[in-house]
Order: sequence, then structure tokens, then C-alpha cells
Amino acid sequence: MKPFTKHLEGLKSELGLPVALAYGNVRARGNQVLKYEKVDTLSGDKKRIAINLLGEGEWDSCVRAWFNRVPVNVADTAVFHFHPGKDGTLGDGLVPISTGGDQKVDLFFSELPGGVDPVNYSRTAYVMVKAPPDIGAPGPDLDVLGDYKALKVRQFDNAGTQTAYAWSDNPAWWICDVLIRFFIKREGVVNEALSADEKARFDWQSFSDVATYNDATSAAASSAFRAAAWPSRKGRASRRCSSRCSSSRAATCSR
Amino acid sequence: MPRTMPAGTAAEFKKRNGLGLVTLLDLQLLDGTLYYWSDLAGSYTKKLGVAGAAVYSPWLLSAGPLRLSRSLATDAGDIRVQNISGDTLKRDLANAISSREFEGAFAVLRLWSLGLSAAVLEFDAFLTEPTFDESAGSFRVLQLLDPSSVEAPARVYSEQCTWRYKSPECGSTGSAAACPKDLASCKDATRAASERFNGVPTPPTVDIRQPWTFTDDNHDMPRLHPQTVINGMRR
Repeated sequence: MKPFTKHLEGLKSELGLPVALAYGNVRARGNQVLKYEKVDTLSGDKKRIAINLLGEGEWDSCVRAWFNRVPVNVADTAVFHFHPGKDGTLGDGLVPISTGGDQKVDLFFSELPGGVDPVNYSRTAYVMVKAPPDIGAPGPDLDVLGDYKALKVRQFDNAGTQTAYAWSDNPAWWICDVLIRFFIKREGVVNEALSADEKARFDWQSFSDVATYNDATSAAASSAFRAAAWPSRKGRASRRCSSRCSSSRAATCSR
Repeated sequence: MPRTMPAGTAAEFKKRNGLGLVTLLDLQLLDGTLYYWSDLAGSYTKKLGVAGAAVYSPWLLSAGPLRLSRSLATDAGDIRVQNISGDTLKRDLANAISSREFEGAFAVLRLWSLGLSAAVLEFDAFLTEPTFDESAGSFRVLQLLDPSSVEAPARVYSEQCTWRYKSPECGSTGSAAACPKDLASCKDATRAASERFNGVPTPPTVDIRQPWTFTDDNHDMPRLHPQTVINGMRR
């Protein structure tokens, strides 16, 4: 079985390793930080509850997923909860109420034994699942694999006015996002507006040109440049950014 | 990023005879102290401080070469400064370096055309690696955007929260002066930001593929069979 296409990557991160930055379309397992087998009091079925942390938020959505390579309906809130990795909302408390789509505490936490602290993993995209019994499973592992639209990114025009905050597979906006995250606004909530001084650090015309170039479609109606990236290992930002910049002809302002 | 040259630069540089470029260095230390150094003493339009002209002291011995790149490789160069002026006990540069913090100072290095009364090259940087001997001192100038000093991705999965206390990501406006970064402290009313806690306080996942077995020498303490697989987080 070779489930990956050339545009999708499957990697895993663990505690002590970096929270992955993922852009574009990604196929992810994430970091399974909790798994608990629960016997249903009514049916006697052994269901498994698991948490897989995916990466730095805010991600866009989950497209499809598999439990032990068996397709699962990601819209079924009795089974699958996707949390995009927003900032938690102060004042919400840590009550398990969420069935996904936000960054509140997941409802499945209420089915875990006492001693497990319910948390909402602020700014971390994650899935919490309750997998039905699978008598055909090869072992006790619960492999939660999914296709996701990863990080949402800011998008700007040639004058530096933000025009969108949305998922994109245009590498120009990934580079912009990396630069904002690591150099321009190192602290801030998700999609926090840039100040005038922060915007002045960019040559917006070059970013706009590159984004337009990447968005151009050929006669075959395929975009000029589309990709996915998931740097999940520590490295110098210069190397991370330089390769992205050179691959898509973006210019940065060093002043 | 394209650089726009001052008007008349091409004509000035085409002249068969002319004046060389003067190197100007504007320096702003972390405490706000300003220095204006040049390799040719004179009054020039300054870049840092209140707008206008400043008298530049002829302290610069050399500047460069500057390595400039279109990639994110860090642009850098070296400057050498005289350490002769002053008296025999305390020379000016040695005195300045010993009494103030030069590491991380904001530096604007310009190549100034006397014919144009304008800079044909400007390099904004910060100072690092200050060293000096009896006659001269040297600094390294690194571009302000220095990606080689930043690790990416920045955050790691850990049991404790990784946000800086009271940062925008943390969001706490509590009365506590500090935060131990654990969930219980985050929940405390003096911080009240548990919804922004980004740690992973959940117990590690364990898969037991073999039943518990007992060793021959100790029947009290069960021990995992050698083939038991523990699949979980690194602690």
C-alpha cells in the first residue's frame, strides 16, 4: 500500500520535539499523547479514545481520515473531533463540551478516568477520537491518519494591506507567515494585525508578484507552483526560509 | 529587494576624477548613547538621533568587506576602530567599551558620496563580538534580520506551558508576579489563563501487547515481559 501522493507528507512528532509547522495539504498522524480503552456500559463494546496532536495552529480543516486504514466519517461527532489550534478563549473554563471546530475542551475528556486533566491544547491543532471496536485491527495500536488543510496564513496586497486570513497552498504566503512568526511578530495571538512598523519590514510588491506568479494557471489548468511543507525538526530559520525563498523567488527586506 | 540609488549617481561615478566614498557609522547603544564615527572627519547628515547634521569623529580605520546576499544568509562585515586617542591610562575606545554595552548596539553603516551629498549604500546592522587591543578595536556587524540565530519551529511539546507569562499568547492579566508554567498554577485565580495553557499534561500512552509476567526472584512486583511494547511519549 502506498497511500501518499507527492503533495502529501506523513511525519510524526513526539514530546520533546518541535511542534510542527505545516503548510498546504498534509497527511498526518501527529503525536498520540493519550489512548484509553473504554468499555461501553450499555453495549460492552471496547471503544478507544485517543488524542493526536498535529501541529502549530491555526489549521483549516480535516478533509478525510482513517482509523487503522479504515475510512472514517470526519463529520461524525460521535467519533471524530478536529480542533484547529486557535488560541483558547479566556473565561471559557476547562469544561469538556466541544465536539470540534473550536479550541474548547473536547467532550471526550468527560469519558476519561479521573486524574486526567482536561485541557484544550491552546494553539495546537489536534484531533480527539473515539474509535469503535475493530476486530480486524492488527494490534492494540490505534492509527489515526488524516488528510488536513494545514495552517491558515495572512495574505496581503502589494501595498501591505491584509486581504485575507485563510488556508493557502501558495508558498509565497507560507514564507510570509514564517517571517512573521519568527522575526516580525514573535509573540501574538492568531492572526494578530501587524503594526505599520512591522509591515515596513516587508517588500510587499515582491510578495504580491510571487503569489500572483504561483497562482497563475497553465494551459492544463494546473497552478504554476503548489506544494506542502512540514518542517518538524529543529533547524536554523535561515535554512528553512532560504530554501523556501529561493524556490519561489520571494524577496525579503533585511532592514 | 531592489535598491534605489540617489539621483545623479551614475553621472558622478562616470567622472574620470572624483572624491572617494566616506564611510560613516552611526551607532546607538542600548542605553541610548549615540556615536558618530567616520574615516574622514567632518559634518554629515546623520541617520540616528534628531534629524540634522552631526560631527563625525575620524575613528574608523576600516569597514568591510560586507558580504551581502539575496538569500537569508546573514549579511555581515567587520569594522575596525582606532584605540589611540585619549590618554595613556584610559584610551577613548577602551573607556567607552568598558563603561557601556556595545554588544547588540544598533549600527547604520553608510558609504557617503561627497559629490552627491548622499549615501550610495546603507547597511543597517547590530554590533557584536567587540574586541580591542592597545591600538585598535574591532566589531562585527550583522544584519538586523539574522535568521541564523533563530530556531524553527520554535515550540516543543512539553508537559509545561511554553508561553511567556502575560504574553499575548498567555493572555493572563492576573496579579501573580511569575508563573511556574504548570497547569495547576495556570488555573490559579491569580493567573486565570488555563484556557491558553499549551502544555501536554496527559499521562503517556501505554500499549500492553503481552500480559504481565512475574519474575522468578520477585513475585511481588510484576515486570513487563521483554516483548511488551511501551508506545508513548518521551519523558
